[in-house]
Amino acid sequence: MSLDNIKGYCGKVLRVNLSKRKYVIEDLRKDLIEKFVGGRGFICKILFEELYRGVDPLGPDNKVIFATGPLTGLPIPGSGKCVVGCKSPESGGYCDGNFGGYFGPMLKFAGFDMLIIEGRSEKPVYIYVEDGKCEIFDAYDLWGLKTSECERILKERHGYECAVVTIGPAGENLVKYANIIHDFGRAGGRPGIGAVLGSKRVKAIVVKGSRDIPVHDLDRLIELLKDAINFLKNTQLYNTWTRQGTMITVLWSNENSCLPVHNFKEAYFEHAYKISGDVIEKFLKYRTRGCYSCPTPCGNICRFGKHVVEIDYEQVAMLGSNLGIDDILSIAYMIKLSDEYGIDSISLGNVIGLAMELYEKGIITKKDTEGIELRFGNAEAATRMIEMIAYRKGIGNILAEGVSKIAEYYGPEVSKIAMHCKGVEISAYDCHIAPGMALAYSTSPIGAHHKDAWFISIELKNPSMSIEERVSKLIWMQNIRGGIFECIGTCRLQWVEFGLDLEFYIKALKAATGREYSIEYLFEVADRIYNVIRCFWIREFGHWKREYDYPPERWFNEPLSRGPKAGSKIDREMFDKMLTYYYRMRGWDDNGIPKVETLKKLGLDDVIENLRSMGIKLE
Amino acid sequence: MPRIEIDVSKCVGCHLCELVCSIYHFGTVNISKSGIRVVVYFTANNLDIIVKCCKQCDKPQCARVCEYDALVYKNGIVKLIVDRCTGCGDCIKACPYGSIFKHPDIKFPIKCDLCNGDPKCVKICPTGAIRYVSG
Repeated sequence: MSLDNIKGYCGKVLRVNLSKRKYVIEDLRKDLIEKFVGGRGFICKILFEELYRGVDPLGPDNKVIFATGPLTGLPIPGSGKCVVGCKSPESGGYCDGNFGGYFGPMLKFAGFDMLIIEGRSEKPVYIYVEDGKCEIFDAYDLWGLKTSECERILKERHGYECAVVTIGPAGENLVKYANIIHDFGRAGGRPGIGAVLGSKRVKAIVVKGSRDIPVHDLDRLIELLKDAINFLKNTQLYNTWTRQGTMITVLWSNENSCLPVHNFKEAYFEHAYKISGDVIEKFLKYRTRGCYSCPTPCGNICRFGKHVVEIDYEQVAMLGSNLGIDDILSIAYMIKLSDEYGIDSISLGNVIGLAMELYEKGIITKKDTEGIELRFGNAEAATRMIEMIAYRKGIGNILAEGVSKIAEYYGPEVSKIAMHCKGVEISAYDCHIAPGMALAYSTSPIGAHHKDAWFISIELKNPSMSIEERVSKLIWMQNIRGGIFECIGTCRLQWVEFGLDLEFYIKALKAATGREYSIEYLFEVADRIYNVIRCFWIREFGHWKREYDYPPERWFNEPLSRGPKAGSKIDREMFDKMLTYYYRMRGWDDNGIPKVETLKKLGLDDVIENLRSMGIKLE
Repeated sequence: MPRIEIDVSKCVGCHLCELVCSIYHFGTVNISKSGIRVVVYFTANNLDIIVKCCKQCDKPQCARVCEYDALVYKNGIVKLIVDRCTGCGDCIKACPYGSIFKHPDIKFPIKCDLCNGDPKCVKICPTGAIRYVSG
């Protein structure tokens, strides 16, 4: 079937210009569908084309794009995903994030595959989208509100069926790792997308849709959905997963010495049980919540005191063990605060962890912290820091810049213990024992993040893999998670955790769109996405160096001192070999710059031309 | 009497029931064309999920207000006779549970018809929150 009557997509893009307070509706470009499929694919290509080199991430010329995929909203497990991207104010490079809930489906019900936000409003506004139309409303009354209150007010105003994305006070105050919050606790956009929206003075986006999503073969889709649900529910994991979700990972990480402790200095936490999924399940959890069209819901809704909060692994590890805190109630409260202020809890755990370490080393003093004893294990101190960061009060003003800038501020010694790749903080898997996972972080296209490759799971199962095997498996995994799942519009966890076959998604794509897809085709798209994003970074920097693809020094220099894997660290020589092999397998030169033939093979001649016109040499 | 029973404490808010309802009844993917609705209410201190679906009342208010006898209570089910319906919307206003819905594309009100005794939402619900009671 030709691209002209392809289904699965709505075929329209909403482009909102805040400076002019106007919007236009464009046709979804066929070449984007053909070459980039959806989601992250659309975002990276459009940002590469439309942003100029050196654009101020917090200026009016940066653009925030929300993009869905061809399967978003359809009866397919986990089809509630939406990807959001822009140039990051934290890393200065490309960034995106995906979030569940039902914003993506609702955008398609409103008739759009994509929402592009450009320009900057003079005054606070929110964007309202309904069935092919858009309005920009004043948001004076919402500015300053915490995320849950803002979402509640907007839903009371426009109806509870609306999907709402908001930023919190952290986004308004341009905290560099402010994120967006949807559906009371679904977060996305770690490297500062909340701050970019804040700079544009967009407090929220409200979407309401009542249109049909076009589908090629609905009967077949339903058949596939039923088979998939049947398969998922009969897996061994199903029961534990729906009871504890990602929280099952706490004890697993600890047993394997990859649970971050004390700013990633250690990876074994004596009190891990106190912050485990079992404790959450027994004492705090009162119901499970799932995203749109998800038969394997993983949201742990917990109640404590007068608060309700959704808890998952990354948050508990980063704000718990990484800060040496074992009191689950304090951790839950911190998670609640980070959601309410709209701060990414992973980066937050890194920042506070680094601040605690600097305090214990005497680099930050009581005078800086306004009398707070910022030591590891002090939950009250950590809690106070969250507020200071969100409102940039006192030392919070420096901490709000992220660990890489904090390190610049306090001097070169500190950069050895600043845990980030390309300026984005490490998520909750320590890598002293996992060189492949370290490479996954350091080559992740948005800076350190686990979404592109949760490689540690493979690595721990096969510790004796050769360098070649390790790297080729990593690239395979990046291409599936960071390539395929980021653009088709579904959650990856059914594949990752339950082993739902990739063939399933091929069949679903065919039923949804009417076009033939193959694994090879999708891998090529993934490759294309990785190359475009890499070129985005190179264009921003004007050059590239191997050291930009290195993980934090700590993992090379300071072996673990506790736990069953005491003494472990990453061998630098081995890592360097892996990196060289990684570049080779990706078709990049020894400095990590894509070769001309690689880009040509992927049909990216326009990208070659663009880089050359900037004076960037390609091999 | 046959009806749908919902245990909201088990509902995870995945909207799969709405999805299959719209597919079965209108042959389209559109959760706003569904006879069952999941609404998530969330405040700083609470999360509530409410599921709205026709309870097949034995003294149905919707049928009482319908001037055209388009809604009839028969064999324990409140049945909509589409031919008689003018789409005035009185039934939607009358339903004390807010379980009859309208959609701009569809002339008549949308309500649960129990899928001729084989409700699709019950089958798809991943947590067993929706139950069919046959009599």
